[in-house]
Amino acid sequence: MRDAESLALPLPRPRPSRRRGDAALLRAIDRGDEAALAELFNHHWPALHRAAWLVTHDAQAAEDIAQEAFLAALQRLDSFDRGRPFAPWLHRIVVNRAIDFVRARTARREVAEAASADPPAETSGALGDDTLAALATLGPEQRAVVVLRHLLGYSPGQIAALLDLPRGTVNSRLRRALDALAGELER
Amino acid sequence: MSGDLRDRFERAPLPGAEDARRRAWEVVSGAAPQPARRSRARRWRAPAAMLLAAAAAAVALSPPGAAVGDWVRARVAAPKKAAEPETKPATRLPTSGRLLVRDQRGVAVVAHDGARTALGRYDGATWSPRGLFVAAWRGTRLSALTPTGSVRWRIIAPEPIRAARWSLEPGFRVAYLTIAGELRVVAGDGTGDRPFTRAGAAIPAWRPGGGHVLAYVSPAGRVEVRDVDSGALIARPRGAVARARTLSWSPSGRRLAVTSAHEIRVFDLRSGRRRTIAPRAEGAASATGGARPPRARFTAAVFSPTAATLATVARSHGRSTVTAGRELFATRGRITGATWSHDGRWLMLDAPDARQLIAVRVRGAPRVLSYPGGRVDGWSR
Repeated sequence: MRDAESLALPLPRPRPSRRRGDAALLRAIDRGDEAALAELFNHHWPALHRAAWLVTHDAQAAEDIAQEAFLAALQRLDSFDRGRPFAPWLHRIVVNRAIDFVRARTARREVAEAASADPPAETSGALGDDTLAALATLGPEQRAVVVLRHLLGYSPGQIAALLDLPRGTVNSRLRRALDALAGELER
Repeated sequence: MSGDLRDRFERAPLPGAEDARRRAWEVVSGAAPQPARRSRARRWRAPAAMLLAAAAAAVALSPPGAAVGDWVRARVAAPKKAAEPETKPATRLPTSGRLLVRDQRGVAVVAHDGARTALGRYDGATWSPRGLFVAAWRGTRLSALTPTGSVRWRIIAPEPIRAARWSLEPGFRVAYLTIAGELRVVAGDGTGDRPFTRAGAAIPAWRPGGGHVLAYVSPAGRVEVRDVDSGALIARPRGAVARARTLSWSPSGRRLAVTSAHEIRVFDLRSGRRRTIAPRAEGAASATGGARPPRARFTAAVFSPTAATLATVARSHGRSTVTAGRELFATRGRITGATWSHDGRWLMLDAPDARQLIAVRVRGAPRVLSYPGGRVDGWSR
């Protein structure tokens, strides 16, 4: 009877394994836990890679920038304040590197265009959506604030802290960027 | 618009996302912080099977094969044979300094204790003269990094980069060659990137002894030595070198070895003399530049950083032979590169067939150590 009752009991529903927080993962990584490193990487890589791509519009560069940002963060863990959240630190690194890349590429094009009438090469990984193509018309700083706000979900105040900018500058960049995007989409 | 934007950003197809994720993980997983890095260091201990295969590949020293010896010491014609050394797996580097290694995971710095620090996915890298920085390139990007991977500066070249070389002390210039054959120079702080001249495919080499004097091979195959700051021509030795691949200076800056597949030309820029070294299919090397047997070719020729000893790697009849004054090592596997330790006591050989690096002691009793790895881009102090 007991057996029958126990058989009649519903099987316990497997509880979804809860993702460990970044702080716990970092502590585990400190102890040499490769599974924790994989978990941290898997959790953050998609957003890092996508943010870099949306700012650079260059798939190869985005991969490199995201990878270098992750490596740089890992190698500076000793200096990272463990009381603070990890993701904003990581996002700050990747977005700043992406902005630097676009600036360097733009400077190179200016030099190349001055020396040659050849059109600059198109970057790889073209965006296939009107909104995203419109994003490509913005400058890297504007793209960065749009990506931080609308992909990564930071508030203007948080973006200001991440990029070391006055909050008013972030607000105005966001407003101008969204106006420009709307204008491009209406064309 | 906000929610709509986020949705569009997240759904936009990112080209090659999965491949990028896999490649990035390969690099990142090799870059865990200290405790994990120590566990990585243990990976220097090659799996037993691989070592057995390598031991089998490291065959008995051949008759003096395709190699050549120290031209300066006139040992070319009869390099001494060495006793057959046993290849031993190792973790720590055999002498002080750090290696810059490259494999499918990217470029990494390997410390003396075997600890590996990944720098990222690059096509190649070069040390700054004192090992304080690394210049690494991938596609059109040339980056200067610290040995821990922090990017100090980055420039975008007009064409993909074939190779770069950081100038010797005091390290104020970096020369890089694009695949389109443009040789460019940038200051050591990343400023002043400019075209210098057109050049062939051979990787240029900075002359030791101060200043910013660079040797390169012109598109017509002529070796030229110029001051990159003034553009002044220092030397243009007679004779073209067809399909030159590498250049290497003796530490005094007097001699320059130019390597192509079937010969090494050593130019003495003081006396104007020139010596041509050709590999033989069997037997001792020839220093006469006479008839060349088929299928014998050089894969590397590098001057020691401390003496006028030229290390050469030659391949003939399915056997690679390494010589530096005397025959050091021979194997049936390919040896595709040789890098001197900064003290001139060891050579690190790239053995891609065994997926190993092989360290061979040049001075003293023969000693051969093996490490898992791809290829070496430099061995700093």
